[in-house]
Amino acid sequence: MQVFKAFFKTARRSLPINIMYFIIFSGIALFLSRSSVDTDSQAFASVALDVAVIDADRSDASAALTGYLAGIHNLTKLEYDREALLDRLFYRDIDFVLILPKGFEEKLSGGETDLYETMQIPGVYSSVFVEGQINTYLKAVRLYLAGGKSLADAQSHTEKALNAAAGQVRVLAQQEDGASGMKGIYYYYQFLPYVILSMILSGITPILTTFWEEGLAKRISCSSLGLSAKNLQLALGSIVYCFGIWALFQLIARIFYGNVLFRETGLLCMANSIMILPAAAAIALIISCFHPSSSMVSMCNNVITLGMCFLCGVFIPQQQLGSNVCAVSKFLPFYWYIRNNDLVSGFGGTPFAGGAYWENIGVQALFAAALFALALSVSKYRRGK
Amino acid sequence: MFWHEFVYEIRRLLRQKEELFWVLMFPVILGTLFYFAFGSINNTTENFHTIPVAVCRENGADNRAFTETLTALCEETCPPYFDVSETDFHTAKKMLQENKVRGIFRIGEEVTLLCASVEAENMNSTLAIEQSILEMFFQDYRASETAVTELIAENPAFAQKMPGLLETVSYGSPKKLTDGNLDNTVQYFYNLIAMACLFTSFAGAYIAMNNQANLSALGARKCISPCRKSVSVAAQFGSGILTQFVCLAVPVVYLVYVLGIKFGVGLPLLFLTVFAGCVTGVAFGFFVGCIGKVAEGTKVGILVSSSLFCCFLSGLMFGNMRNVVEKFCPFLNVINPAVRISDSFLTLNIYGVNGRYFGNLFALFLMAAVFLAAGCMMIRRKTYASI
Repeated sequence: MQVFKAFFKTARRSLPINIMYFIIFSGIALFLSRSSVDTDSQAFASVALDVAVIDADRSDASAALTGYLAGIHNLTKLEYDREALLDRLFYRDIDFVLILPKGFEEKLSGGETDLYETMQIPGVYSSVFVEGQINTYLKAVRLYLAGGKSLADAQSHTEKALNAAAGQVRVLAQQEDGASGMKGIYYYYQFLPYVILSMILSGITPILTTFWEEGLAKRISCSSLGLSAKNLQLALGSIVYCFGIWALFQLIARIFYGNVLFRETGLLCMANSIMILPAAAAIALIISCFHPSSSMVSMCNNVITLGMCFLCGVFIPQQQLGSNVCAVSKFLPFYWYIRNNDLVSGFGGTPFAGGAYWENIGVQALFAAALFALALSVSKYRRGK
Repeated sequence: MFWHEFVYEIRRLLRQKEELFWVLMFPVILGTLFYFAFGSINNTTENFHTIPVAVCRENGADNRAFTETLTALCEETCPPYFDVSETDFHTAKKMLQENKVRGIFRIGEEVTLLCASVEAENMNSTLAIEQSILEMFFQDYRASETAVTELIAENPAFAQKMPGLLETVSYGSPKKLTDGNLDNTVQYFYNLIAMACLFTSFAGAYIAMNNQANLSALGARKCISPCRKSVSVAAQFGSGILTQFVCLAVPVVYLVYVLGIKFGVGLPLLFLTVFAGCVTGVAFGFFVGCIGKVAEGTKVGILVSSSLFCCFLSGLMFGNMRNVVEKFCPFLNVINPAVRISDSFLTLNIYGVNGRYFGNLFALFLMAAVFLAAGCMMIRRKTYASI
């Protein structure tokens, strides 16, 4: 097992850089998985947007309106600072800014229609939604005022009427219990291909490149060790390396998410993630055939990982990608990985079907086989040269 | 001697295809991927589109007030709020399950709204907000109905006043925000350019390594030449910045003119920002290149991972990351060059040239000066024993 041992001796040379990659990438994957859980946990009946209120009137009427909105949205009371508000709107840190000017109460009582100002991204859902709610509230208040109620009575009647109407929406189907605890895991597995592919490409490619070096290759080929034995040991080294990385990330998932990981859906995610390995190893093999320098490995690594992750729906949900992009990404293995993850998690909106899951696993296996075939052809061609 | 070194460094840099790739080709490739990936994302997820709904009438039931309100929202608004399909309940339910409509208004003795469970869709928050808009409309109708019923019961003459008050109008006026581009996906392109600026650090690292006799043959050759190290480093640093800047200008032009990305500002100011980014990038690379006797591969690894990490914190992979950092550790945003570069683009886009923009440029040049000074401190007066 000389070659096998040499494989890991060579791997030791790139250990510090791989540890660095591991820490950074696993930190990124964990962060993304945890932060995404926070942002996407909205339910339709109570989509709570981030609304900022600048209350210059500080009257009972403005307090009642902001109190009503606070019951629906995440309300923040701010002072008017155009630049800070605009920055937060641009980054969608807040979705809507409501400005209640001085004299709001008098205008409302007097039946005027120009009551408030807004800062909003024009033509987006969040603006239509929040502005609609404010108008609904004010319309009802104006009705009660026209009906002879005092402002305080009008506002309390409005709140009652709106609260009575709220929650009367019926829901067609309820979700099964138990899936919510899995969300973090789904997001973790969503971002895992980026991390694993990066680590395999930056880890295995330099090792294999070393073995393709002309001098070393000739030195091994004139030894008593046969070509098939050498290749077998290299393959074994690569398999151990890849599974080592995979196992490390399963261990991290176990530490962060506990035994939930071993539920059926968690195991399906784990099984799906194994399919990243053969495709990643085959890509590493193809790159190594071209004897790249260390900076060339970095180049290929970044272009391939970032490119594939952006196109296949690792960073952006597949449902949000354009149909043209999806048509292209079907020719990449991660597309089928993400499809499976969406299927297990229900992110794609389609219920889980075992047949579709195994079909996607099969497609990934075929991609791996095709990539390996390509790698062997390239390696043979390069050796022939 | 300065100009001699300057010209030769330009020639050397232009022959380094790997270094050129990072500043010339990588942003072009990634920018193209971004363009396709983000091209329609806001249009799909954020921009308001007419919401498809089904309306079912039980046994031909009619509710004039509701039908009129719904028709007004379909015909008098632009774009129309709802696209109504009148059908029987069984078909409507099937349409809801297949996500062809977002809700069913069932008109019987009273009007009810039926929606699909949002939990089943989870990530698709567009659907959730579309259903919330339906709920809002439903609430509006029910609240008005309640108010009218109560008020007419109290005072039947109120029915005369009512019609004008039931019209759906906006009581607010939006402030004009900016002439710039408010599509937040443009920030990915800001960060892409920031990343390319930080990748100019490879050129800086090679400048440092090519001046140290224990790290490269060229460094050994230079150490015995009569040219002063300060002159040599200054010339190479200058040519490094110039070459990288010219190379980086190509992807910027590509993004603006070929992909049509709206940066909200003209090319000269974009170039000025890119130039400041290049100076910081090259200086950062120079600093890393000067650190001890570390293998070239490791230094490249440090540069790639630190550049990517800075860009991650700035929002290259996760758009809202910068605000998350701002909440928990704002100082990181102050010292992160990628944030300073992307914030410069943001400022130009939304506010134009102002104090904040110049503050960002000053911060970038200051960082460059610190990196350069620290690098020079590490390699100055280094002597090598004759062995």
